[in-house]
Amino acid sequence: MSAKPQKRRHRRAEFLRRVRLYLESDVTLHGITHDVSTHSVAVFVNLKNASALYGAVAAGRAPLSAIKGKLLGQTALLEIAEEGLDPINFTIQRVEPSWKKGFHLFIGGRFVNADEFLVKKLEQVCPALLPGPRQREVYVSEGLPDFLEDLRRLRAEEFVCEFSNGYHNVRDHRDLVTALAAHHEFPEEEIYGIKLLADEALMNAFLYGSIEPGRDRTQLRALLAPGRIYLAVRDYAGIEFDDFPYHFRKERADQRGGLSLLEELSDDWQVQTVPGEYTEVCFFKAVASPSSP
Amino acid sequence: MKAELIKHESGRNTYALKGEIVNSADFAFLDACIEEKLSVHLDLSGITYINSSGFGGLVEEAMNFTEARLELILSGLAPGIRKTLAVLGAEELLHFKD
Repeated sequence: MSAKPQKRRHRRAEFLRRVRLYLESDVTLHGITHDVSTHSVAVFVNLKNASALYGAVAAGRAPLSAIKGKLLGQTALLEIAEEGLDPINFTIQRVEPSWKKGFHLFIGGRFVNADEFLVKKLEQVCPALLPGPRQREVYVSEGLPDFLEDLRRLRAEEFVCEFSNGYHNVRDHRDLVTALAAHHEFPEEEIYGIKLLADEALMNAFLYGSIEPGRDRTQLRALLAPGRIYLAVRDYAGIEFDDFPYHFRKERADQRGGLSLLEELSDDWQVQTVPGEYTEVCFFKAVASPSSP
Repeated sequence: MKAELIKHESGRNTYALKGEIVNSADFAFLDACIEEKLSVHLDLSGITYINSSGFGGLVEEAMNFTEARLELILSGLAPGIRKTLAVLGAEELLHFKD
C-alpha cells in the first residue's frame, strides 16, 4: 500500500476589506470581506457591537444559531470601506454561526443586480476578478493525482449517480457509500469515519447546492478498490466555499467543524468551485486491507 | 432524533435519546431546561449516528449549560462513535459520565 500522501495546500488570493452590512431590521453589522466576486460576496461579521436585536446573543443568553433563520433570505446592503462604491444589494444565502467563539458570523450571498456597471466597478476594486466563470481551487490536494493513478492501476470499481437534493437522499447515499466501503474491505473501525466523511460532502451539497429550481441536482462519484476510496460530491449551485484568511482560519482551527472533520478523517481532501456552475468536494482514504498489494 | 424524559429529580432531568443526531436544532428542547435552571443527563445509548452538525449542537448546548452554571452530562455513547468524535475534540468539549 502506498504511503500516506503529504498534505500541501495552495491558498487562493485574498481580498481583505472592512465592510458594513445594513440589514432590513435597521441593524448595522461591522466586519470584513475576504471574498468578493462579480456575483457574490462572503463576509465575516462581529456581533459584539450589534444593536439590541442581538443583545441576548451577545450576553450569552441565546445561541447564535437562533438568529440564522432571521437572516437567511434577507436582502442586505453591503458597503465596502475605502473603495468609493455605492452600497450593493445582496441576498443572504448562507449563514454560519461560530459556535465556539460565540460572536462571529459568516454570511454569504449573491448580488441582486450584478449588472455590467457593478461588475466593472468591482473589477476596479479587485483587479484579480475575472469576468465569466473561473475555477477556484480553494484547497488543492497534491496527493490526489497519485491516489487516482493508484486506483486506476488497481482497476477500481466506479460508481456514479445523480439525484435531486433532499435530506432523505443525503441519508440514503451516505448509507450507500458506507455499504460500498464495507464491501471493499474497509475495517469496521474505519466505517464510521467513512460514513461521516460522505455525510459531510453530501450535506454540503444539500445545504448550499439548491438555490434555484431545476439546479438542485447532486452528483456523486465514487472509486473503490480494496481498502481505498475516493468520493466526489458535486452540486450545481457553485456557491464558493468559505476560505478564511489566515488569521481567521487560525482562529477557527479549534472549532471542529465539517472541514476539520475532512482534515482529520481523510487522507486528504479538495474543494473546487466554478462560481455559479458547480462546487465539488472530494476526499480520499486508504487503509491497510488483507488484499492490499 | 427522539428525546424521552425518563427521570425528573430535584434540579436534574434525564433524557433517553434515540436515532440519529444530524441537526443542531435537535437540542432545542434543552433551552427550556436552562430557563428552568435544570441540569441534564443525556443517555445516548440509543444513538446510532452523530454527524458534525449534531456534534456542533451538542458542544453549543454544553457551553450554554456551563454559562448558566448547570451541568450537561452524557453517557452511553457507542464506543465506535465516541472514538471517531474524539478527533473533533469530544473528550475535551463534552462531559462524559462513563
